[in-house]
Amino acid sequence: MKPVKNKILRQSNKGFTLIEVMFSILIVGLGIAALMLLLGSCTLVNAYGNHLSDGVFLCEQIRSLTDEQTFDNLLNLNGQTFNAVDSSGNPVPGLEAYQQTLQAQAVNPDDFTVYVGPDAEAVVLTTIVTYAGKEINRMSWLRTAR
Amino acid sequence: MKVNKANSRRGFSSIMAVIFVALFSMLAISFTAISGINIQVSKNHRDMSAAQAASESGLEFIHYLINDYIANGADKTFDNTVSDDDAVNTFNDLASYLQDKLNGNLLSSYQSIGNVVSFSENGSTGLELLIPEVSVTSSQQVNFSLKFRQYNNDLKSLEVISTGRAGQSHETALSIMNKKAKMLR
Repeated sequence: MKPVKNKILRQSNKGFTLIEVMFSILIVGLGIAALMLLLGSCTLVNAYGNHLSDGVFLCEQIRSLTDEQTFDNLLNLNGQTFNAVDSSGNPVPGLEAYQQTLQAQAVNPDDFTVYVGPDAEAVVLTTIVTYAGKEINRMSWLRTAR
Repeated sequence: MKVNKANSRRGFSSIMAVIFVALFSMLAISFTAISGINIQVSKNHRDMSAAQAASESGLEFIHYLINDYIANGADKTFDNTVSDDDAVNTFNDLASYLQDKLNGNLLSSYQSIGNVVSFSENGSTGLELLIPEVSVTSSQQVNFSLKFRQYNNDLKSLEVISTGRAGQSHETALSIMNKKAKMLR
């Protein structure tokens, strides 16, 4: 009975072979490598989401900034660029890499797609926010001479 | 039949492998889902902001139109009082003015302002005129629609509800912002 018991104990302590260990390391390694790639992609996607939120915030700041302007002055702002300013025109810390461009297009109040001269009664304002030269967000709204 | 200890541990590696694969898969799905939600939140924020701008554009536009509106001689009162009949007549006259002004101009050929209709909402009743969607720009899917309301319990007030919409319908839910303004005339 004693030799049989020893044999069973030897078999139970056998452990893994080198091939088994190598394959398990390969599989786990591939899994971790895929997860790392996924993490990289997720970081990029999250960064885009953050840029988009910043872009929306900066568009809203320019919209507030133009609210303070008289209607007659709006067309003078056409083409003006701002380096990430808030509604008071002060730079926003941390967003220096963004740029806001304001377009002011005089339109016919009876048809917003018809562009008219400088004595317009309605203006479509568009703010375009760019990050490193790439457009992040744009927002359009209407102002009228009322 | 006797099963020894070594045989009882057979398949343990397979179970561990399945657990690891499941764990990695869950992690991957979680990361992807979190990133997707983050993007969706940002896009919803963008659409809501654009919709708010559109709804305020609608109010701006209607202020402009109403400033231009001159009530019919028959609806003018020269004794500084407005009767309920005057108010109802002025509302109907304003509706005709808006129909003449917008149909065929700002509104495209397949849209038009309908007639004044009755409405009932949250226990309030009155008359309502609907202006269908008007695009703020031709390049973006941003538009506003307007409702003019005259409540039966307050005939001398005009309520304007501007609804802005933004977003691509098949990707994001429509964002709707309501702005209400009361204009006394």
